[in-house]
Amino acid sequence: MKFFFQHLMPWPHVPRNNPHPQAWVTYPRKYYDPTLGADIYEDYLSQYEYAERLGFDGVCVNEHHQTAYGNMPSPNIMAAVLAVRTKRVKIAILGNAIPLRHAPQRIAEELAMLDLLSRGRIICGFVRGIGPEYHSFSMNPTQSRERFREAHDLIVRAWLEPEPFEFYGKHYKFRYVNPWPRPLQQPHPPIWIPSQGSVETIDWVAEKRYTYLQTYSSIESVRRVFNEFRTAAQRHGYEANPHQLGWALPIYLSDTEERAYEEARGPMEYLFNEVFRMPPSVFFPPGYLTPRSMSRVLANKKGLGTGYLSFEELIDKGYAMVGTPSSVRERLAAYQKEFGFGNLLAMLQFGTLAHHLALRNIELFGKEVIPYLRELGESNDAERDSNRSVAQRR
Amino acid sequence: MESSRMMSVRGTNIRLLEGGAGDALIYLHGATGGGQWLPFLDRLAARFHVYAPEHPGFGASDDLPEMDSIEDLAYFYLDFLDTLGLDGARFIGSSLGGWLAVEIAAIAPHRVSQLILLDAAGLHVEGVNVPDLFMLDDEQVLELTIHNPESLAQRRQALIAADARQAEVMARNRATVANLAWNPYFHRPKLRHRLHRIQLPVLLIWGEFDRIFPPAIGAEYERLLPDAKLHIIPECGHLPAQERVDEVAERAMRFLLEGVR
Repeated sequence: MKFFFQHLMPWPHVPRNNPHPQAWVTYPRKYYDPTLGADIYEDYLSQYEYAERLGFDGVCVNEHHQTAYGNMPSPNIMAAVLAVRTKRVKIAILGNAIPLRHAPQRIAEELAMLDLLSRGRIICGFVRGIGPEYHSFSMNPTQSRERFREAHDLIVRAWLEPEPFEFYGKHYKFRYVNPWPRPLQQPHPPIWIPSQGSVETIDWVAEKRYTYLQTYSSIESVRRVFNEFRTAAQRHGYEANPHQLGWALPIYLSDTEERAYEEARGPMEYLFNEVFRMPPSVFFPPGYLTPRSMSRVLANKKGLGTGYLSFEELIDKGYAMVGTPSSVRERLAAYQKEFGFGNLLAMLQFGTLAHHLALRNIELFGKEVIPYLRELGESNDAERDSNRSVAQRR
Repeated sequence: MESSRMMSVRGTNIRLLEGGAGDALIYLHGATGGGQWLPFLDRLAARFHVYAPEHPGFGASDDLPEMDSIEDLAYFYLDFLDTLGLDGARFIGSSLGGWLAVEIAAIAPHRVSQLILLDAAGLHVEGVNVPDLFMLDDEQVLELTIHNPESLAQRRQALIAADARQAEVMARNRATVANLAWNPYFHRPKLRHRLHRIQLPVLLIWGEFDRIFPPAIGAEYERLLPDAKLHIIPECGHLPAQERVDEVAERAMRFLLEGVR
């Protein structure tokens, strides 16, 4: 199993009982204190560096806009910083919200730059951006899916084809697509797709033989979605390998169960209930989900993002994992055996979690969890399957 | 009296409500959807053959392939006229349907003989604030829509009582509206530069307390259209034809039959 250190770079100073209906879109930026912000960036970046030292395989950045939830509006800038401040780890950009871009070639260019600067350590995630981004940019959510597919096709084609070409889509029309430079990893960096579990996305990721990431979900949903992915892969004529499945969740470790719960409770509730939560009309703007996906995603995410979820509920349903290193690694091992995923994305700083606790969390995870679980999902079969699927895609 | 049927317009099936006899009068519904034979339509049907189509992407009607602007919908309604064999018609449009009626008239003024706009979208007026309906939930939108407290309470009950099937229809209607009106928000910037082409008598009816598209938008239509007259309905919200049926039906009939504004 590969271990990734995931971070949102949250703004940790939204007051409890924030009088605004959300920490997104219209949450006034006067609440952002730049002096504090510079220090917070530095703390967070040092957590990334620490994760590399502690043996993680990769680190992750992501894109959100106009929000206290995550302060990486340009994930590629953070990836550039990490390309310099780390030496070994993969840098997973999960992902660039490609439909929000007016010229997706910019993504092909920037990702190639990053791959060169990091000497081939980039993992390329593509996302649509969640609902509030469509409010933040007044971008029509009903076109999001089509724009995503077109932008994806343009970028990947630009990486695969050696000559300039014309791209004539419904939403994107370019006479000369010819982005320089080219990525170091050929034909292109691995592509990962984080998703909320829509039927269409699962099938598409399986068809493309990319890696599928399930984020913020109950155990029940993770189980179902990973099974659906495997079935979809079979439908497309192959067996999914463990490295095509990734699970992302907040994890917190401490010396005792009680202490872990005590230390994680406030920061975790802050993450889910103060900065993530938003009105349904913002989370799911009209047309963002197909009618078919709407009911499913809502069932998968019952209350998540739009309603209050207590700490107990978050733990019981498996949205997050909290405990001693030994109890958490036992649970992870059991889930790995059952679900067969090959990538674990651990969010080890979340919400208001203090810098020193985040560092200790990283240290405990690096020393007490990773070494015990590394071999899981790493059979020779998996490697062979992985190589085969890459070869077939070429 | 009225009847409902599915009709095909160049392969797109839509639901058409019809009633009455006489010259053709087409009612274009707004963003909350159609498919209902309103008491207002019954009044018009006393003297006209009233057509109340449900727009593509709403209710029982199919999606219109490749539709992503109000102009696409306007051209659809020219096909609709052709399919019914109508050279032209009188048009009444409410809200989003009002904007649509103006677009039709701007493209093909010769196919519109008279035009009534009820609290129509379609124009951006500098300095006039309009709420972002897409940021609000259904109940909040309802509160902005209806002025009369009793009728607001009734509609809120109906909203709460909506079953899964109705909720699905409402979600699809909303997606269709977003497709047409997300950005630019419920208007087309170039429309104001086409209004001079609509050389026909237009009656503008606006609720005094329309908080969705305030009467200032009606005043701007009155200023820009060559032959339009704005009439404000007092103590009324965004849907005068539903909140003030008698008064609005009477005004509409006098305009349609006698040209009185």
